[in-house]
Amino acid sequence: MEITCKINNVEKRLVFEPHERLLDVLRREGYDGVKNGCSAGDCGTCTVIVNGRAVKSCLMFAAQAKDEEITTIEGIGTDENPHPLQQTFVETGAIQCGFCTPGMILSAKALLDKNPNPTEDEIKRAIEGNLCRCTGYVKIIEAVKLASMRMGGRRK
Amino acid sequence: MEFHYPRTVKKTVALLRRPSSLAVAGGTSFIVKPRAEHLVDLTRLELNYIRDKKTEVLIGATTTATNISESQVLGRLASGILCAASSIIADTQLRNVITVGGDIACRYIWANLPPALMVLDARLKIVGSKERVIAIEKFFKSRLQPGEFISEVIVPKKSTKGKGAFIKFSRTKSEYSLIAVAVYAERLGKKTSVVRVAVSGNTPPTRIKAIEVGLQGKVITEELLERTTMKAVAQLQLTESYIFSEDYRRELLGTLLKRGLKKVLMGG
Repeated sequence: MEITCKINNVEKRLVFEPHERLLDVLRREGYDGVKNGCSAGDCGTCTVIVNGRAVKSCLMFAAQAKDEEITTIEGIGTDENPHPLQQTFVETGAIQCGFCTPGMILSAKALLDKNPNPTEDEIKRAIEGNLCRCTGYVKIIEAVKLASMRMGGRRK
Repeated sequence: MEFHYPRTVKKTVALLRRPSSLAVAGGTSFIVKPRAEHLVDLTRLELNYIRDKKTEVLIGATTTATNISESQVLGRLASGILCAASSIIADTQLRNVITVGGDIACRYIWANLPPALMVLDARLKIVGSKERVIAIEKFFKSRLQPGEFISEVIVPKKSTKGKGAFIKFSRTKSEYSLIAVAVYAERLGKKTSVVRVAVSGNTPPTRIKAIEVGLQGKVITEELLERTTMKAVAQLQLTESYIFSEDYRRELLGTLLKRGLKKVLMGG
């Protein structure tokens, strides 16, 4: 089957089998910042933003993305001009092995887009579906707070 | 396999009448390749809404757990029990896609919303060759006919005036509920006038009438609460679990029920 959708602000035509998951189709199309971790909706490494909400692409049919707007990690910054979250994750040491990072940043971005001044509890809630086995989350929360500040939010 | 995007209820019903068809709302329950020839997307039928009517609140079947947990209208019903129940389903990303209709229709033993809706005496609007409205309890004792799907949840306001409480127990916060307990009560002076209790996790979603009858019209004391709850829990038939022993789960169920009941009946 075939659908069109917008990925990172670019109109795309996707061709796939009706049972295929959004995760697999995105990776095949070259968006390999979308990671395949547990494939069971637990780890959050496959997180993408669909119409402003963070979702897990391993538990979504690609077909469900018809006419929707998808944002992957490839769409929020470049090496030369990283997103504030990408910058603060590097600065605070919120990255170790890096596998959870794209999902973690997208969950945080979905939060900050809706709520520029999140409390620590709101940050924790936003990333509760993203597992990190390296950092212990402290640095990640710090990175999100710092990005929120730099993006114009006031700290609570 | 074919994926369909019907825009009208009539078309949806026609598609779901075909053999080997499956309704897809959030889609999170289909981790493995689903055994169906026709997948029918319900999310393009404009069924994502929460409507505050005079005597009832209507929740469209594809309203997400996130929408429910953030709803001010639902926050005013029975201490916001539906917001509480939906805000602790899985995690943020999953709540963004899990729908109220799917949470009911999948009939999962760990589902949070069915017990919470049961204590509010909610009804389900089911569309098919014709439309029917049934109590949510009846849904769990019956089956849908080919072509039928849940289109709306109806919460009568008159059964939401009292206090509600919802408790989920799981090993980690975002895991499936091992036990979910929903309690609702109204008082008239010192006595209870209405008590409704429902559980899931250890059993399919079900009301516990023995507790309701035992506590209705009574002045609640800790002793009465303890006796009534423990007697009812001892008589419940629990489903099997390969992880937790039956004794443990029965003990836990009693404890959580008492906690929920205390909160709505004795919490000031």
